[in-house]
Amino acid sequence: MTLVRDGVETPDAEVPESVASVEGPGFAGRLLTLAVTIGACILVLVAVLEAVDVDPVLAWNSIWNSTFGSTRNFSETLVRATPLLLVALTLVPSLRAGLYNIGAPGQLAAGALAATWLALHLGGQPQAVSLVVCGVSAAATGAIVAAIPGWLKAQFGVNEIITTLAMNFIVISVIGWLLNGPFKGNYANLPQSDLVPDNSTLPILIPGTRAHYGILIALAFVPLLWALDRSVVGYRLRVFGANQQLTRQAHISRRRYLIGLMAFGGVGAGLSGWMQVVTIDRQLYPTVADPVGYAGLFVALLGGLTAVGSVVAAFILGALLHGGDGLQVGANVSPEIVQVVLGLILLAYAIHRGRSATREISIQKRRLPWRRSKR
Amino acid sequence: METFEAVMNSSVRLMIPLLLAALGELISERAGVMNIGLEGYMTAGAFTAFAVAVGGWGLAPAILLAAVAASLVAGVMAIGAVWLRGNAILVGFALFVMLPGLANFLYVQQNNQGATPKLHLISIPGLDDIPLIGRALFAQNVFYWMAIVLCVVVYLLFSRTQAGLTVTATGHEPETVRKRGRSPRMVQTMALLACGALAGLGGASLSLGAVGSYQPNIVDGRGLIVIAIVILGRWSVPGAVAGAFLIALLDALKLRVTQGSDIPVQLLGALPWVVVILMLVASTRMHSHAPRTLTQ
Repeated sequence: MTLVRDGVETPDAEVPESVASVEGPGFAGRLLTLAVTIGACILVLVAVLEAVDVDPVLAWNSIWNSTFGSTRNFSETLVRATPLLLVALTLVPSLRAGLYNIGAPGQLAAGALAATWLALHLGGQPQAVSLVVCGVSAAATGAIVAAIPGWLKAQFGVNEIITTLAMNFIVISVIGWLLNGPFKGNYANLPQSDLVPDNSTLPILIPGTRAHYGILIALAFVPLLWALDRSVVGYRLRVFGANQQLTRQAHISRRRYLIGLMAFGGVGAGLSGWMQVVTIDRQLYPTVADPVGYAGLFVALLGGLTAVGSVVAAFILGALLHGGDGLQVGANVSPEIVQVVLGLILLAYAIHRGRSATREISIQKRRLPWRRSKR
Repeated sequence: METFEAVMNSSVRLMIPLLLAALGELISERAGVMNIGLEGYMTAGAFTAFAVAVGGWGLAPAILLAAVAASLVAGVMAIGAVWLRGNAILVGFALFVMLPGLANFLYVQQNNQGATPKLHLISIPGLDDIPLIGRALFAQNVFYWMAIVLCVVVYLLFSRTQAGLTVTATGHEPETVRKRGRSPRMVQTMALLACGALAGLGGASLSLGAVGSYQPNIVDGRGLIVIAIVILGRWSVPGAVAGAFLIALLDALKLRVTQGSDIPVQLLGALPWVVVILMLVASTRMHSHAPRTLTQ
């Protein structure tokens, strides 16, 4: 593979080692990491459960029953895994470039808002039209909300972690206001929108359950990422993530890739918001993003920033999240424990990932042009 | 004028948790550790203070143990990010997610919904009669006075002492600190523990002072606002005080404005976050003492 731009040719041999190291350990190594991480987290979890006098075996049984106990429960796991997978797969490219977009809840809610508004106005249209229009505009809205922190980073060098988090609070506030004012539904005096019409819902995949075709849309991103990896854009992205000095030499626009990567990260969240509203809940409410929250990011990290890894991790976390609901019923454990598990997973990952990620970020900082001119 | 007095009073009260936590974040960022997990430390402090106070152990142990508990959480950060060389931002984010979850879990699971003992106002006789600002500045609870004293202590630490200089040097040039025979890791660990203690006090001032109980997600993003405050305050103590007061003033105005008009309260909820983004944008244009190793 060679990079040709403006007549300058860079053969493979001259690509610095840091580019190659982005590939990381092999597939088997990643699976091993996954297994060790999960094992360690289960140990801590058991300790916490023992501390509040809950039988871990009983807790496990209720998780198992509520995950694989029946077709209905299995399909519920799919329902929980779908948004996680969508968010994770679109976040993978930006995470590989060392950009931490943790604004999934805000982007998801913005996508849900756009989808609800359009679905309510497209009542008389054919189902295909309604589906495509709502889906595309939800994805675009999510991308726009994610692109704002990207632009702020490209233009002013503002830390994207804080701005994406701030965007979450801003979007949720705006939705809270809309649902108490112009968007409020007619049914009850609650901050909820009207129910979306039938023609906007995704078809059901497993009859008699809530599992919908969204999982197939999410899985469609797997070959997309695979193709991206092997394209020129994918190669430039790897260069961008590994060494920004090289990026400049190759005349790759840092600004364009920064904003583009962040925007792509919002696409999956926007689509998840669309599915959540038109297929699962049928209406918009202020806490629409809570079932997903930051878990999409965990899936991407736990999956070792690969597409296939993300699919495995999304299914496991989907089962865990649905199992968390089952815990409440089966073992009288409040579902907040799932958040502890997510934190543990990320902690394990952060320590395991180690210095490489820190180095990537520090490279990025030293290359900011306005900083250089000041010193 | 009565409105002004009321707004001043509530701004100062709302400022206390922000200021205490900002002092902690200031120390750790000066040492070169970006601390996204501040929210977790504050939650640990808030929950511990609540649990100890409701358990009937008294207020002083509650405040002390809040600082200790939050320091322990900061210790996890130190082990993960400083000693095991994990990615500081991700370790912090893990604590940001995990600690509120753990505290909410324990709160719901124990189902203990008592109220904490009331904190008395400590006022300075004479000064608290000053019109307009007297009650706001000279009649507040114990956390306010703690914050004042700690502001002075941290300011003197960085301007007058060798220890403060070492912390600042670690943030700028850890290699130089190492050559001078001090361990940058040790300095960062100490800075993190101090940050934890201060953030724990900030959390305790929320549960014991502001709310009088624990409630799920009590910190509600304040940990992140504090990080922005430190950045806008250009890593200095007076800057932190000014930033904390600005955010608190916005909060106080929010409560006030929505009472008498039809500006929707939900939209005003977004205001501090918009200000935080603007603050961050503005701060990139200013000359600052940003620790050079800090990943901004």
